[in-house]
Amino acid sequence: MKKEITIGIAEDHPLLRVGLVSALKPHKNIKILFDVSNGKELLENLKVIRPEIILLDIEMPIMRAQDVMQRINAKYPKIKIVIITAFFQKDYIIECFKLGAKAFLPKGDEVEKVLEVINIVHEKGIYIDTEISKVLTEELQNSNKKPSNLRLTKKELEVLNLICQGTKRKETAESLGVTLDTINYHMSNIMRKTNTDNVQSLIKYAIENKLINNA
Amino acid sequence: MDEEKYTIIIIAGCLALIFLVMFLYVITSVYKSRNLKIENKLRLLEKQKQIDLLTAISKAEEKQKIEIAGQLHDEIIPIVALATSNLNSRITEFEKQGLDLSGIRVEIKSFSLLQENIREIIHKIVPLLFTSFGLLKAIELSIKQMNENPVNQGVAEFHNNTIFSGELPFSTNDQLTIFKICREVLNNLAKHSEYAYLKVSLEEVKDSFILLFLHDGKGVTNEEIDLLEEISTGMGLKLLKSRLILLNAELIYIKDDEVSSIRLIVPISK
Repeated sequence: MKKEITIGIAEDHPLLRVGLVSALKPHKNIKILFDVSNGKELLENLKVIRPEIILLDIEMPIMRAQDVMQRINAKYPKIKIVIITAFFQKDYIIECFKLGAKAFLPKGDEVEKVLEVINIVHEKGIYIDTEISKVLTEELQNSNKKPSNLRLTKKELEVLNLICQGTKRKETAESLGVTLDTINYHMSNIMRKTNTDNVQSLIKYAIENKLINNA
Repeated sequence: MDEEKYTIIIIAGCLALIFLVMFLYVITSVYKSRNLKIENKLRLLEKQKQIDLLTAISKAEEKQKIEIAGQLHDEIIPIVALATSNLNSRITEFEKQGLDLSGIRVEIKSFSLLQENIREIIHKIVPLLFTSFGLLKAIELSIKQMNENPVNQGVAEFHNNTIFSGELPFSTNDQLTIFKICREVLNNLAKHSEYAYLKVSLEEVKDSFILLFLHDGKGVTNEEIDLLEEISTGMGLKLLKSRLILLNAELIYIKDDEVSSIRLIVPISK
């Protein structure tokens, strides 16, 4: 006999919520602890009763899904969130996973599919189908494509030299006769081109690559 | 003696005349200046009236759009989604009994397509990234999408230069308006500026919400934008202006050979 799985449902469409509840109710290993229509109600319910899995519609009124997921992860890290959505846009999927989602469930999926996802998330902690894994792989490959060997312009080398000499950005701006915004812009672009994220690592990069005094 | 009297009378007459001329001059000047003041006041009132009217129209239009999106989301989509789900379940039941209903299953896919189309309309009005993740994340992700668009040759980045990370001090509708302004500015930059590097940064969330767009492409000045708005037949710049009026915000364009900028300033009412 399968182990009982407790779930909570947060879906703002009454029709879909009722449909989901009535489709899952007959299955003996699923126990629905509550069904609510918005994020605020969901968090209120979690104060007293905690399911193992939450089926969360991401497009709900009153509270943004991002805030709801952040709070659930911070307060109840053991609860697994399955996103119910009809929208499979790359950035949207990635952000949801970053916020702690364990699976995506297309709206209007057959009850068998819903049960399969719930069971896999309960057993293995996560469910990623082919479509989602394609999106995640693509993102991972893109994030590795960082710029390399991008040449710095003459102006950028001038800015880099002054910064490496310890000149403050405001003074650099005055010395080059440009605005502070322009210097900030050049600094961001230099850091992007050199794959650095702070002045110390930039100076190290400049020394290693003999960029100082080359302007 | 008569001559003296005569001279005094002439001097007094001249003085009186000068006084009269001066008096008339002062009266005319005061009258003119009063009229000018009234005219200016009327012109300002007229302008304010136009702004109020434009604001009211924009607000009503935005409200109506959001209502339409809400109705599509709350009333139409659930019906289509539930019907699709029920039909799929029924077909599965029949298929278990050995019936081949794969043809109908294909037909049902058009319901999913219908849902997708409706959602696209909703997300054009109220973008999903905005509703799910909030203004700042939505701007960041819009910039990421610009980078991924093969049409755009340049690279854009978003930086939060403030320590701010909490809830923005604007209503959701105002945040949506800010997002739409940003999207329009980003679209215009992608289309017309030919930047190699675009840096978008959040500069302040204190007295004002300030977003700065710095780029090395073709810049424009405020005067050029005003002229473009007047002669352009497109709605982009006009909508942008009405959205700025809605928020009492301003966009400051600075053109420079090296780095041009656009600064969005939205006052935060305390």
